[in-house]
Amino acid sequence: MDINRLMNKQKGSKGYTNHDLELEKNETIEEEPYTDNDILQLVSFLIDDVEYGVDILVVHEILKIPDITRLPNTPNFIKGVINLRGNVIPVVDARRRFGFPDGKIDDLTRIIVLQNEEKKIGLMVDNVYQVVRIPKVNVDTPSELIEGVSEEFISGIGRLKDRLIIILNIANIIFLEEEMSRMDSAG
Amino acid sequence: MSFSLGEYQDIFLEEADEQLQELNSNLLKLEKDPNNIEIINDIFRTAHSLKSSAGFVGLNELSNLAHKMENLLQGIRDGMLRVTPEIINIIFKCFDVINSIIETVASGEQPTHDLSRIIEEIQRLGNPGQSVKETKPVKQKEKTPGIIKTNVHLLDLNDNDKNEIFNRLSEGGRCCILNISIDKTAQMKWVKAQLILGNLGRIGKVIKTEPSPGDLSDDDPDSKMKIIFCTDRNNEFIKNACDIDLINRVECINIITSRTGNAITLQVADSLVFIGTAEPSTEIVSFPGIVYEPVQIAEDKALHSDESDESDDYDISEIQFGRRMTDRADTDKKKAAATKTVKVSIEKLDQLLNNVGELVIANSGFFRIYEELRKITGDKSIVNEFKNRMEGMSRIAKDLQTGIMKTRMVQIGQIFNRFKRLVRDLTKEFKKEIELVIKGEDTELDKKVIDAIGEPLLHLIRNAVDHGVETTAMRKEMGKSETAKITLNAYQGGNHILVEVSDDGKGLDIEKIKKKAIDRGLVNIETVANMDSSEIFNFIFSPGFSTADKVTDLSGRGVGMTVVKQIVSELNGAVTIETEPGMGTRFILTFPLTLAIIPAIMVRVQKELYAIPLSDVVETIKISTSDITTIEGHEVINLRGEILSLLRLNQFIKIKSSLKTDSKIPVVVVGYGNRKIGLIVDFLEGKLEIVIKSLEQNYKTIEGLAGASILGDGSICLILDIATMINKVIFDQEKLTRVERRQLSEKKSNEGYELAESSDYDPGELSIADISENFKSSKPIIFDVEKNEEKPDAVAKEIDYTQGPRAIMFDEPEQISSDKNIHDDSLLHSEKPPMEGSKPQVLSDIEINKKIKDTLSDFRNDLKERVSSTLQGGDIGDHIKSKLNISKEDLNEFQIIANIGATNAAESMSQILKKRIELSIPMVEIKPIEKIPEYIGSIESSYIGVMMTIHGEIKGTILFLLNDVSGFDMVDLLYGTTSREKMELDEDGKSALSEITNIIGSSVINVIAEKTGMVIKPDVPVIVHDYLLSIIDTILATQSIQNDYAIIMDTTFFFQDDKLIGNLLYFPDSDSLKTIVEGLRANVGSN
Repeated sequence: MDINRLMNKQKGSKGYTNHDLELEKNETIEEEPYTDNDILQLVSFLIDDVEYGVDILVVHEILKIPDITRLPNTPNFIKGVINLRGNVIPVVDARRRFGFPDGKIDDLTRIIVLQNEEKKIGLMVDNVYQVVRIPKVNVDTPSELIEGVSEEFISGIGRLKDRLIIILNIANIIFLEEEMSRMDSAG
Repeated sequence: MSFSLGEYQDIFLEEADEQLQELNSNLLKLEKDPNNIEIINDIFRTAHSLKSSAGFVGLNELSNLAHKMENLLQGIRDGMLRVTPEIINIIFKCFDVINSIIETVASGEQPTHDLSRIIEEIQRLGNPGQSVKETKPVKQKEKTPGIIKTNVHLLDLNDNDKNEIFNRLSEGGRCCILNISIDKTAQMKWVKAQLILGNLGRIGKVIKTEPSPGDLSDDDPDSKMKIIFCTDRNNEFIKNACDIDLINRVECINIITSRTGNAITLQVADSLVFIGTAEPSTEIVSFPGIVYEPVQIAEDKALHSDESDESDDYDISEIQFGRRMTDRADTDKKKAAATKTVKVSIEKLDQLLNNVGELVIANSGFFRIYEELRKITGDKSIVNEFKNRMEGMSRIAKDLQTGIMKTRMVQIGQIFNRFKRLVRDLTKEFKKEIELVIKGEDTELDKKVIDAIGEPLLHLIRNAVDHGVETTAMRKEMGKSETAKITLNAYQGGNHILVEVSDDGKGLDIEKIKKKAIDRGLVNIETVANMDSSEIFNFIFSPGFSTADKVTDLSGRGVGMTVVKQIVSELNGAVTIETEPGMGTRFILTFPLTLAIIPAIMVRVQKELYAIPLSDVVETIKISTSDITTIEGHEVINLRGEILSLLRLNQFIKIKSSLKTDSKIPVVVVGYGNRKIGLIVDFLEGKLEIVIKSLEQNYKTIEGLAGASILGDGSICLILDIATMINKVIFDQEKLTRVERRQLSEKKSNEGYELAESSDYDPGELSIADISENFKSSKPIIFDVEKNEEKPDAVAKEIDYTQGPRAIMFDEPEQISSDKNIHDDSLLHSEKPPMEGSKPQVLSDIEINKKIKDTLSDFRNDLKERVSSTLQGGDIGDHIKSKLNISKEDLNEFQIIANIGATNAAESMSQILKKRIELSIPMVEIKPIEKIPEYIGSIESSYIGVMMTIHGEIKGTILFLLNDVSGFDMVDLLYGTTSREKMELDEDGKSALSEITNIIGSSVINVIAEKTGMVIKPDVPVIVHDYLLSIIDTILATQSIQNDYAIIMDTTFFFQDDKLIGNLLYFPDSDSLKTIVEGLRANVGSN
């Protein structure tokens, strides 16, 4: 629901014109020959004006910024914990996680609640953009040319006409996140 | 490969466990009261249902054993067997075997117990009874001479079996006797037999086997077996079931029923040979007679119905049948009762509890809507209706919450009763006479605790029996009663459940423990000398620690107590030991009331709220900066002669403190194990019941945090893990070298924490003058407020006190006053020149205060306005203060006086009442009289006021004001009266209150007198129970006080767990206040 609303909202926003959306529509029609198995559905979002995507299957829900309680003695990319209907869920600040400068929290800031195995984790992003369908053949393995996010977190690059969507490996984010924080606490 | 009984396994295991417990406890009763038919019936019934359920899940061996046991019990019930110790023992043995089988199944393995021996034993014990039974049938010899007699005992059917057969037959099944001959040459004949029984068990029910498979000897050339078997399958199935290798012959004889009058007769009918030759051998001829016995009895009865005396002997079958019927009725009744309880998994309950918690939170959203509605809607009735519904819903949600909470609670009795058996066995083994006394069985504990408490109790009881209790001879010698007593007790104490294991044995030998501790290198001799006994006793919890001279199979290896400590700690509990040489030992296990909800003290650092589990809190105190001493880079205070390490919570959670430089510092003294530290926080917010949520569930364990909790408004507060914090402090202390410590303290000061330096400060000689001097001269701590306020964490939770119902017990008056203080400070400082000698600090104070003032959000102003709503441009208190030329310092002086007074008062009260009482005077305010009712509370409610006039150089009235509910509560608490119920003060109550006022009032007056060097005399207190305004009017009228202000001192009484708030007011006469202030100044100045 949120995503649909966002899509509408996004139509006028900078950088992505109606033209782009037109293109996307056309692509979708073009992509009809692909079966569902060949299509990757991504929830795409922005961090520092770059578009990223995560597999829609790991997305539990998308939230507006609720109250976040700071968690002391945790790595700085852990923004804190939120109350998701009685569950205490850690929130990772994507900007800090991927080494971007801190951004402002505004109306567009969202937390994408990701589910990995038994754990839920929130990823705070600048803006949730849309749901895109990309044929799997259009997904390349990550090249070293990608700036910013280190390659451990990237599972691939999705090409969509003139757009590039960096597909994040969520399992790895959570895994590394634990791994690294363990290292942090050990060191 | 794991073994499973299928989908019913869990139910069966749980049921079986309960049944065994019941059997055990009943059998113990029977042992004491062997002739009680009720108990026998109970045991019988339980054994029967155990048998059925075991059969149901396919544990045929178990079912068989239970069946044998049932037979034995049947014999007792029928009066054919006497309850002898042997029988009791064998039944106990049966229980053990059954228990062991159940445990094997529970662990996922196939039970491979050999039951033949125990069955054999049961039969041996059961047989004499049957031979008694045999004596009568002898009379039937004429009917079927010779043959019956010789074979009857071989395959005897008890009444139960008869009834079973009858029931099966009447339900349309069939019953037959299978005569099976096993080949002479076969090895392990009992395996063959077992195979057949197993096969038969799958298609029907084996009623009786003679001899039992285990009794089949390989050497016996005559290997024949008779099986009475019920099924509803046809011959083909039976044949296949028996058709295994080396079975020579199988003959099937059907049993049918016939009815003659009221008597039911079982008769043998046609026979069929499945395997082997049809020609009946000589042995086989005799077989019909075997079953025939009951049949004959009945037949006999039918035949000889005129012979009354004989029929009396023979109608067992009928009587039994009748009784069986009543049994059934009983069982049905029991079943009906049983269905009233439902077994629910804890997970489901937790889920439910979670949901209800969410409901409560969701519901709180309506309060906000209501507030909005109220503002915009003119239609009051709708708004009120909305409010009523909303409140109704909130009540229901709360009820639901408590209800679910209660479902987790289980009575401890079921655990306690298990130990009766243990103690009985142990007593036999050790040849000691011990009585187990059980108290407080109906005390309820959290299911999780109940599940875990068994093991620690087991160890404690074993220890008590093995080491605690002396031998009978020794007891006799010492003049103790020969029967020792071990007591299990459970009761509730405050927020804890206490479980006690006590014995009247020899007690712990402290010297032995000391010696052992030193021997094992746990401690050196010097340290031991300084340890108190409770610390020494704690050594027994160390792994491998045992003072036992020899290791028995029960105890002595030094594992048990470690396990006890470990399990109890895991449940947030504690173990304490009380012991008296020669008199006995008492272990007290303390558990929190429930694990789901814990009481916690809420503390705040800036805007971040943290919870400290109340179980970890020793006390809360307020200290001033000058109380803090730095020893080797660590801040410590002297708390009643004890050096207490301090840990600043804000440093631990790595944010800046918002503590003001000159305010009292709230410290939560927390303890874990034997260690205590003081935790410096910004604010104490009060007590709250919180639900613990794990952080590991979605994240991981974080150092220093025990979890999180969701508060009533949906926000998250983090729960501090005191154990790790204390360990951290200890670790730091031990790790740091002297140099490093110095570096650390330098670094700290660079960071902006200027630590109070008081190397010449001698904690031993702390006097009032010292306090005040230190207070005056101490350097205020400068906090980098600017930096801190500039970067407000945009998402950090700001607790919104103005909206919604408050989940936090928030000390409103204190908050208001502290707000005002901030306000006042800047006001005062900007109006008045700063005090001499402290210029730079005061300037920065002003800056800080301005900053703070600027960043104060609107809700704070709202709160402030509630107090001084009508006045504009500041607080009236300030006007009075400036008019009287009373500075903040003077007020602080008053506060110190009040605090010292309160401490004195609490001490004397504790002594008089022999109860622990703490009270504090946290805030001192000057207020215009007309504002007092508003400040203190409600104009409409009635109060208890105790007035005490004072004369001398200072005049006026001291008024001790209590909301009447708190007042009555206090009187009741102190004197055990019931004035609360009547809402009326009797003479005792009055004298109690007068006394309290006397104590508090005089304490304060004494301090004032001492500090001002004036003479002040208090009068006898007078009690008024009236509306607030009337009370004040009374004072003003009777004392003709002209002044329009009063000094309010908020008093909080901590009486055990209760907290009562009262106000101590001083209505100064004419210029008395000025006199006091001047006196104080003069005195302080001269110092």
